[in-house]
Amino acid sequence: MYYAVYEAAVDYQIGKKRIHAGVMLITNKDTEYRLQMGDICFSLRFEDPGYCSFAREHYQEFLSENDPDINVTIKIALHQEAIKIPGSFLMSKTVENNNFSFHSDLINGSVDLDKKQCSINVKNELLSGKRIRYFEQFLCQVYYTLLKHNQRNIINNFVIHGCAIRRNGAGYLFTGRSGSGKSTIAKLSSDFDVLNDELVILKKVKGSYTLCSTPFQGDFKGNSAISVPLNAVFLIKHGKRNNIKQISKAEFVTRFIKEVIYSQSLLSTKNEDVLLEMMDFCADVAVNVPFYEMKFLPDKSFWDVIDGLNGLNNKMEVEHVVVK
Amino acid sequence: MLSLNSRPKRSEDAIWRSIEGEVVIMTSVGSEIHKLNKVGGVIWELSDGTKDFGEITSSICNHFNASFEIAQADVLEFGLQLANKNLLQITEANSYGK
Repeated sequence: MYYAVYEAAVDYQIGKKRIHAGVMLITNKDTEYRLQMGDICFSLRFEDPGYCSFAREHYQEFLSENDPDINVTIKIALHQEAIKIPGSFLMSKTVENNNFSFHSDLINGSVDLDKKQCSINVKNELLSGKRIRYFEQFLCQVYYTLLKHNQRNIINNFVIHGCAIRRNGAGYLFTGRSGSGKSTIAKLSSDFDVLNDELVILKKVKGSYTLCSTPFQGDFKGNSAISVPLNAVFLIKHGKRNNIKQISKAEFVTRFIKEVIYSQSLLSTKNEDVLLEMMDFCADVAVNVPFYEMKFLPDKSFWDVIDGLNGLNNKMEVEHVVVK
Repeated sequence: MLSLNSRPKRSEDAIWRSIEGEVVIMTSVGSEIHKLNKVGGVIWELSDGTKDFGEITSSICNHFNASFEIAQADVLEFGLQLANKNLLQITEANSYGK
């Protein structure tokens, strides 16, 4: 435990919490939040209890009591000016020795993997509203970094921009660009278990692919911290009728790879190897998992069409299905 | 302007995989993704800097049972498209001493 003296009252963008001048008794619990993401436990340490409290509430399903794989000390950099974020946040990184910076210090810091320590400064706007997704993408890169450092098999363990559903013990991954309908799918699947409507982990375990939830959710609130074997992948978009069709493996890889979170390590700037491993992963998914393009109506009827995919192999034998 | 004597070579910036005959290409900055059909995939794989478009066209004709005249126009047009996207580097005949 320690004592902190706040010299001024500060308004936070998150939660509108106000801390007044005075002496507060602050425990480690007030400033540390252990977040579980797949096999990795992050200890997120905030100087400011207000932000820790926000993390605790925002990621409550993923609170962990495991020993942390990394301690991430987070300092909030308050700023006044408007921030413009590049199209590819993770690829905007510069690295020098153990130090990194994303897009002119939106997030900057250092990492020592042997000591399991990472210290970052984050512009406070990245911890509010939808912009928190950039902070979460940063944590995804920390996740990849630890997997590679720990020499775990990262070749088939990636974070995917998608909605994952567990239905009758089977996992379904719906993926596509923002606005394609992932959160809609989640809302229409409330009878089942929604792992996540934004970011999920897809990993190969003993030759089969498994979906795992992550703490990082989209518009759908109510994600479950569960895992499920993957049964099929659907590349989705809104449609005027339900329609599922086959596409080639190359077409699948071309579209699916856009939804794979860039798997570079924090201290690496090499793109070629990363893109190749992502491409090989997508090709492996295409070989091992049934995949389809799906247009769907904004109601639950798309599940009937999915059920009509006989055995969920690549042979289409139902209505509303076009075989390419 | 490309000719049958022009020699194409895949850009070192291009990251690619052949998947059941079709080819998926990404640039190293990951900003663009291209998919080539089976004919385009054959042209791409033959574009290793050692063959000119004439030799590549002959291979296409053998692969797909096409006439040389028709294939030649398509191969050159396709090569120009890839060159304009900086996916192919083109060496002209007088540059490699042929």
